[in-house]
Amino acid sequence: MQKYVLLIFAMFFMARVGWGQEKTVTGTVRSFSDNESLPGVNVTIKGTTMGTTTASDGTYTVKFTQENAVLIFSFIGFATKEVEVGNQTVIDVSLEDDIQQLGEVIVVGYGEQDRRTLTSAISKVSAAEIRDVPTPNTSQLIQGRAAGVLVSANSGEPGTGALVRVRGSTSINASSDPLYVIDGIPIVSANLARTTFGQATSPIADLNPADIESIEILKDASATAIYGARAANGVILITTKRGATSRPKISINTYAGTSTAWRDPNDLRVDGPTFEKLQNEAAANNYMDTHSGSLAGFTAPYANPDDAIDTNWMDQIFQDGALFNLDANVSGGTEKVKYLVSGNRYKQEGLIKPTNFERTSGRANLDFMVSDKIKLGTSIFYSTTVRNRVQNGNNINGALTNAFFYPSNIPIYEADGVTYKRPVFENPVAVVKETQYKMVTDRLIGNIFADWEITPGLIFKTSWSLDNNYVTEDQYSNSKTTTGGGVNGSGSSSVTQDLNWINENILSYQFERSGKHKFNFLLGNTLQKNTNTQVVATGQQYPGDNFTKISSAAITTSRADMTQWGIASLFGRINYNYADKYLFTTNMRYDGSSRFGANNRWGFFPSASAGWVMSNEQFMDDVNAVSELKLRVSYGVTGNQSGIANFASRGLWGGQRGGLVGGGGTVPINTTTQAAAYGDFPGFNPIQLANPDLKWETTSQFDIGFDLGLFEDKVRVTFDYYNKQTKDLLLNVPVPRSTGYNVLVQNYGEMENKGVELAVKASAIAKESLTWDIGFNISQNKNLVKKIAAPFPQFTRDYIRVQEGFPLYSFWAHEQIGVDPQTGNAIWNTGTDDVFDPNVDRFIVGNAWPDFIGGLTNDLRYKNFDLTAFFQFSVGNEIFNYNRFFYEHGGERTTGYSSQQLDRWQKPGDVTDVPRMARINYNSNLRPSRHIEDGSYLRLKNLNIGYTLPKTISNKLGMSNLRLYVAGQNLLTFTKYSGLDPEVSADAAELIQGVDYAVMPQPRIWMGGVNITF
Amino acid sequence: MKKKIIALGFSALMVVSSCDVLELNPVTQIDTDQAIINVSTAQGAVNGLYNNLQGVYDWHVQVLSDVASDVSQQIDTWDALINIDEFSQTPDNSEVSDLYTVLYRCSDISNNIIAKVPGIEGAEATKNDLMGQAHFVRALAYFELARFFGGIPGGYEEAGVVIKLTPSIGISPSDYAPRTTLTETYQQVESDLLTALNLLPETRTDNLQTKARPTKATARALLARYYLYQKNWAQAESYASLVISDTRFSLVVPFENIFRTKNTAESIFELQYNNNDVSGLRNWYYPTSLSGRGGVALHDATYLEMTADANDARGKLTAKNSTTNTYYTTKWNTPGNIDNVSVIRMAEMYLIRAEARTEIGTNLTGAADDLNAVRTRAGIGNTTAATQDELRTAILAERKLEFIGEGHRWFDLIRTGKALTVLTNVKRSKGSQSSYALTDARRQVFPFPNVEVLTNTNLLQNSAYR
Repeated sequence: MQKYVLLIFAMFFMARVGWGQEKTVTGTVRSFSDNESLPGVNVTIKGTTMGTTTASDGTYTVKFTQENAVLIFSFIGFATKEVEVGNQTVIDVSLEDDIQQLGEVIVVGYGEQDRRTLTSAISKVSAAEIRDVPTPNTSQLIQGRAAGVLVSANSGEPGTGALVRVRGSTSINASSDPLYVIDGIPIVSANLARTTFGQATSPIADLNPADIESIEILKDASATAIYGARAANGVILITTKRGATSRPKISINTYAGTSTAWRDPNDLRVDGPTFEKLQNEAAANNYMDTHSGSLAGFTAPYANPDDAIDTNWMDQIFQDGALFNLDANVSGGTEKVKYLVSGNRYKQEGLIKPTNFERTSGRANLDFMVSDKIKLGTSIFYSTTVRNRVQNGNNINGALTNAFFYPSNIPIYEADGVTYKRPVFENPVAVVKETQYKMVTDRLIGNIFADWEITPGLIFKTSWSLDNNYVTEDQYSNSKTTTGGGVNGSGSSSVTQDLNWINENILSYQFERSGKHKFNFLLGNTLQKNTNTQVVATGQQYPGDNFTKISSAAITTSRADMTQWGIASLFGRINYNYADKYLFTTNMRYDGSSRFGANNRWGFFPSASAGWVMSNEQFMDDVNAVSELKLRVSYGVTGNQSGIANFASRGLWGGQRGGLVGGGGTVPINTTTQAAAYGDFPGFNPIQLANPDLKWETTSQFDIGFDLGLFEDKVRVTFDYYNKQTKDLLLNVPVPRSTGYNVLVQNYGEMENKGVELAVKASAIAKESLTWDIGFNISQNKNLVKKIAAPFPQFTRDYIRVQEGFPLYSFWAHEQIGVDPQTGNAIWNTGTDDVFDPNVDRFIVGNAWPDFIGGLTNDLRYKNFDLTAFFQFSVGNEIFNYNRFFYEHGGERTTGYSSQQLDRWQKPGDVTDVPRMARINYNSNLRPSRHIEDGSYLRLKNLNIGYTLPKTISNKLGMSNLRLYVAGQNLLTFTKYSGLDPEVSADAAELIQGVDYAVMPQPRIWMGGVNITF
Repeated sequence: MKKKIIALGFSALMVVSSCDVLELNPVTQIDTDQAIINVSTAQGAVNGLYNNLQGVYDWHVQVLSDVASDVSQQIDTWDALINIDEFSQTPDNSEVSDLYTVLYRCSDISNNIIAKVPGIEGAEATKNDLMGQAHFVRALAYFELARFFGGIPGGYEEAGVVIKLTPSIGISPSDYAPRTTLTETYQQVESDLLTALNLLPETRTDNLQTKARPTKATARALLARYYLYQKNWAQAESYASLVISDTRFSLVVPFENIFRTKNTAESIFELQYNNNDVSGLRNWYYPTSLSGRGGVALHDATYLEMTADANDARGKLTAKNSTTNTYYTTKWNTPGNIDNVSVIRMAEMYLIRAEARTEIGTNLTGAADDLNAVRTRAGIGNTTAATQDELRTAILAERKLEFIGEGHRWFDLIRTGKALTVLTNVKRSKGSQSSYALTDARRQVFPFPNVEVLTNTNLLQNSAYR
């Protein structure tokens, strides 16, 4: 059909131009950026369809008869160039990269689409935007770069997890993490570390960021619904680089740097003499309060505070961390075979001893044409990551935790050289020196696929994939620690294997009718099965500190577990495009999951979207400023099944003790790892209530937006409004504990996320020697818990509360209005009466959600210099500074202080929010809201300044390109937050966000590097 | 045509493989209806019941109530206990919440056993034994719930607790029940104990089994404690006498052997712990240098009382924590914190009978004899108390010394109406105030957890906490 049309057109043109004398032109086409010859470039004679393509060495020969002929050189990824032939017989051409055109192909679920005909909301982050950014975790690379995507690192520990929310949180107890799909393979992204110590690790850190060609974030239902039951939280598609038709190209990138704390931890420290003075002050105030204001007979706890010793615990645990990265790839190919082979080594030390993260990875992406119709391909990735971790976060054995808990007036070591021990708390020096915590992950992500073009436009693709995670963890606290002290060493070792296999079969058919009606059909199915096995052994009583493996331990325990889940799906999509003006897409997916009750095993998830390209209408022809204007609207339903137990619908009894940890909140009962045996008698016990009706959480999303291009697309604006309504939440509904259970997993409750997103890209200056590109995005999401069974508390001391009418991650505290300047006592919100009662006068005060998030990037190029400055911001999020709850204790504890205590009220007239140091203001049953602080920040997240050597020099060195650069991360941070860093999360649990408690801060990094291409 | 073939192929593949992917079963767990189906699974469920009961007496009952009384104090930073120690606790106390939850777990497992065992194949005697054990543990659970959250008749009373006697499979509206009256709650305890007494065997195959699980004697012993709390002195005396006259039990000499040896003749019911099930009493008391947490210590005044008589064997089971400059009990001293915990032991029977006889008033000599039996074993002289009042005081004091760390004191003070007068000048080593007092009578019961009151809106929080 197409050929016919072309032929007719060709004949028509031929007839019109007539015949002349034949001329021959030859030449070579090269790439302007690296001077490589370009094979496969189309060379056509303007006004005709005649022409040729360049050979593998970039040369061409074209013959024609026209007078005043103009040659057109066009090639994907390069700006099309026109050259008047005149009298020339040899025309060598170099083509420049076409940035705009490169950005036009958008990866969508199970396919690709031209950006201009896209009707859904997808943000794209390209390789160029994220190169040379020193973070091991790919999910952090998109922070601030995609509108509507909230990314916040849990801590500065390299390889740690991050909070990633695409258009808010849709779930309470199920996971609100997006689905990650790399080269079509849905991969494991949730923490696999067995022991988190409050800090999760991210399996996304196993990936090599240098392999990435682009990251697409699917946001609205039209984009995500093809992933059906796992799409409610958005989908992050990662596409890796593949070989192209060219001679072998070698590309090497290496950088090295150092990281330091951007805010000196010593700023929060209180020295030994000050510690003793504060304790004396509190004692004196308490004495006066119980002795009618008199100090007669009072003896201060510390007689000579000025003589106190001063131990700087911060200096003992903090370090400057080294950073090193080397990645290299070789790529190339012929018409038949294309390849890309890459390797990477990355090492980063954390700010707190002895943490570090090392990744060694390799990738081989191959495509080869078995015949004209059949292509086989593989994407094989293997990586080994090694993490040396340290306990921190919400954990009393943490290094930073105890650098505060241990007062500065006590020595590091006892007289015998052993670290000094205080009750309960581990000496921070012992934490960093006498404990080991090593985690090694071996990961294989492999995929084999075949594409068969059955007839033109009809393609069958089958794909078989594997994601195998093999995690070993070894922990050991030797006899010098509190944990291992009385038991001559205490350790554990575990092996976790998380194995996924995925099969996918897709049939797609693309055709046109009368040149105006374009159709694209897609039909597919997929099956996925996950098997998770874990073996854990623990030991105590080691013969000496040199023995760290459990084989030497006298007392050992062990356990082995295994669990599985599976999902089976059918899906389809229809795209219809009328004359590039009216666009229509519908997606459907039918999913069955092993996780749900027999009564509700299958779910159907449809979506539809429409687009109107107004700029292609005649009436817009005169509006020259507008180069593109497309209105989009979409609606669809997606589901969520992640984050719940594999057999959540079934009433179960099990051989492990069903128990709760620390009050339990809504953590289901089966959280312990001990056998339910009684002494030596084997036993089992109830674990879970049954709910055979359990089904998907469903999210309906409405999206309306527009894409606007101005001044020949020099300015591009994307705007979206969305409204996400989630119902049938997979909720651990609290049930009366008098039933013997604390929760029942039910489809109960409703959640809402509404927001707006704005992204602007502008090419401010585009001259040969100077270019300046600006990218800006800002977005807002309003989260609301619309309906739940009953409000319930979370976190220790019930500090977080989930309640109808409030957003998730709301803080529940005693609302402190201020401090009475006369008495120095805290003033509380007393509720309906005038008496402050800590039992009942607790209120929701703030939440961890930002009002706005966004980023601003500037790319400047002047001759051979380039500069990229990327700012990222979060406005209006609150942080619960739990550190202050412990370290601003007003004398009620014997542990150390943080410097915020120094702002205490001391005399009448003092205006401060830190009350007078006395029991009345610091009683341990108080949960003061002054610890909930504004966590807004603006960061110069990345700065990169480079210089590319002139081609003449790099070519002499045998290179096609050589660029040197210096770069930095977190160079500037503007925030009013009083803690070490505003990007924090002290707990691995999903519902606990915005809590700062002894979290390793984000590092400030300075580094230098070089990019070389051969 | 090709398309059709491929589409058919798809469907076939889908049907064949999706079963494999969707029909998965748990490997480490079984469905509820497969749980108790024969004698061996019923025995497994009973063992699981004790496993949960271990969570009640690992330390929770003992430490929470001793810290609430004048026996022990919280000296580190765990404010869940500090608040209790300072009489200022709030309903967000996670330790109280844990205790509350595990008590009801014991109730639910008992309910399952009581409901399912009659329907299984097996010898009647075996089935009766299993049922008897379940009734006994359920009685124990509701007894703890009653005295922690409801109060003690004649001492301080609020309402009873929610009573649930059927196995939980799903959730029904009737699970959102209001509190029963305190009388109803205690009546449930009595009824379960009498049933257990009827069903339990007199003895078991070996000493370990006899101590580790209740027998008729154990039911009698708990009935003695129950009637003491009910001020039913005659019944208390009668049941205590039955146990005392049981020749399998005796007051073990020397005193420390009760704790140094497992399953002695002193023990009437002793929960078994090992490396997999760690009891936490030693951990709370022992200093960091000995791999304890060292977070709980004796009040200094209590230590002085215990050691006032240098001969008192009970005072010798103490040691000084030189880091915190406080004293702790060494009753539980096995490294790894794996000591057994005696839930009911012989000395309590003597002291119950002494108290019952004192209150009845007709056999004061007998009361003094019982008291002296305990004193003699401790290596100290006979009591000088002779009148009813003197004996009351002497018995209360004796119970304190005898059961240091074992969690009786708080309830003894409430039961005898003395909490508000005795707990007036309690000095803490770490508190910012010179001393603490229980001034609000309503704080003689603990708060229901926030999460329970929010969930079950029919459950009325105790008056001091709402």
